[in-house]
Amino acid sequence: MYKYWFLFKIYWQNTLAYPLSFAIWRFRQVLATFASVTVWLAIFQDNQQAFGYTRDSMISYIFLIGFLQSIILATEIGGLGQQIYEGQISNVMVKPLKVLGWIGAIDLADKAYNFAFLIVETLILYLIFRPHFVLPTIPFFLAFLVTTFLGAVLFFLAMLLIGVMGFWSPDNWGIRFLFYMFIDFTAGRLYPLNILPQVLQNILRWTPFPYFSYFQSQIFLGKLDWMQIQQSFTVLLLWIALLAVSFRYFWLKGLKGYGASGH
Amino acid sequence: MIEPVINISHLTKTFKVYKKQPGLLGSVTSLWKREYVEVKAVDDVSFTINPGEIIGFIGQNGAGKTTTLKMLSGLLYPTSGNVSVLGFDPWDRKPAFQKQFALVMGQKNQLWWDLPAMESFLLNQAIYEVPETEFRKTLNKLMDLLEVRDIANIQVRKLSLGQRMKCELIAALLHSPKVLFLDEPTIGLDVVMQKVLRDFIKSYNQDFGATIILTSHYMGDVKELCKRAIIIDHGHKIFDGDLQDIIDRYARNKILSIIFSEKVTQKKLTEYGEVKDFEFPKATLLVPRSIATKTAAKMLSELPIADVNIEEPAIEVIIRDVFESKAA
Repeated sequence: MYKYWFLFKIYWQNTLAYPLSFAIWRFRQVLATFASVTVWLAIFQDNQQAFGYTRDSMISYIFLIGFLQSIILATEIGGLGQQIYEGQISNVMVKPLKVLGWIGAIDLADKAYNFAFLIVETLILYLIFRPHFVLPTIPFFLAFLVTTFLGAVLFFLAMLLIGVMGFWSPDNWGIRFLFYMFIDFTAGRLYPLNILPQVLQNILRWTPFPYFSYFQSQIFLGKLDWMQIQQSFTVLLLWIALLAVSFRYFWLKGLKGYGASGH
Repeated sequence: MIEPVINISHLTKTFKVYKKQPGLLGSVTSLWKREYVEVKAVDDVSFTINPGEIIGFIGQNGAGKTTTLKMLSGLLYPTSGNVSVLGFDPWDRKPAFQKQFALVMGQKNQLWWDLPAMESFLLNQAIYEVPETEFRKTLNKLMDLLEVRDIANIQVRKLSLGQRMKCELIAALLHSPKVLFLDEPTIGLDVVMQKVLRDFIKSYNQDFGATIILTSHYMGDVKELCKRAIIIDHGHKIFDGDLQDIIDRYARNKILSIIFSEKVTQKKLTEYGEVKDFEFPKATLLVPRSIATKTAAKMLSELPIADVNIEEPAIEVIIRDVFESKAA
């Protein structure tokens, strides 16, 4: 395990060597939450309620969803497909390492790095907007933590699955773009999904997208009962299993045809 | 009997390659119809290598050298045939195997670009689980041999190509691999740096008893380091043996370098062999190997010669001739 911990540390060192790009990236994230909260504040200026949300509950929601997505969607493996296609993973493959361990350590390091910034950003945004939170009970809070972790696992697997396409084609930028577009509209970033028509909500429940932050936010805000949590939790686990099995299948198939080009 | 370190038999690797028709029309057509061709990068190659050998792996671009090294490293899955390195199937990529070999690709780096090379060395220490005392001992030795002590803490991106290559070698050798695959390790380096790396490779082979396969376009590397060479052409092994045997087998001619004491005509010289160069008083003739000594003696008795030398052609020339004759 020490080798992966060392990798974790060296990733931080590497990122700290030129921190400006990362700081700007984080600033973009803060700006997105800031803009989102501001838009909803404008909507609530003349209304006490909108879409079944009060001003306070909507701000809390936007605040929470920004926080969750900064954790769950933070990733360093967006370029995995290109790295595979260009043969850059050869350096890892010849070493006594699990390639997935390497990718996982780098991704975790990136999440931790994002999280460190997130704490400071959250404090600043909190002081500006003063959202009103009612903390969940311990069982719900634990469910929130577990599903947040599983949401991150699901996203990691989704990125791996997109990345594994690099064994066959460098042309996966478009799919990644589309995937993020879907996330924007179906993971709750722009609006809570329960303002959508019921039929759409029912469909979305069976897709992986709400589990990238919306589902977790609803647990934290106490909007789901245990039965609903169990049902959604099962869907989340099924998606994780499906993506894991698919990734393993394509990974092994891809490795056999790997050309290690460039290197 | 010595057990070979590397044993490959009937190794073949085929790639499916997309063949695009030229021009814009070809690009548009390719959207719905793509033609693929199968290319045999390595075709039925077999050889064994014993511990401690340095092998020169020679071939033109695209001959299949790097593909073979990649199969030996476990990066590529062979289409057919068997590979064994240190008793392992490389494709299994077992840590016990990976801790015993290293692959160094010229100009491709494993060093972290924005950090000093020392950080990559420490990372490799962790990855290969090298004990601290052993790591320090090997690191000191390698840094002294390659004279990089003063640059190990400078950001890699700030180093020259030669300095980077030295650090690449150190990173690859910190776990003291028993088998080393070097793919064009001196490519792009100036002659001084080439010499430094060659000397280093030689001493690493002697000090660690390592088995080394080296591919290089610089025949100087092969001549200086390798007793045995394997020549590969269009995926086929066409020669495997001592470098001297290449000369014996493929060098048709010897070179007679002559200095005349009096004028002779070029026409006269053609009676003795093919005149490669003639500018009085010097002449260079190519003479069939089997009659080279006799011809030299005949010329000495019949022509006004001040000095004569019988030489082997340069290995580069012989190998170029081998490839040209195969191409023809």
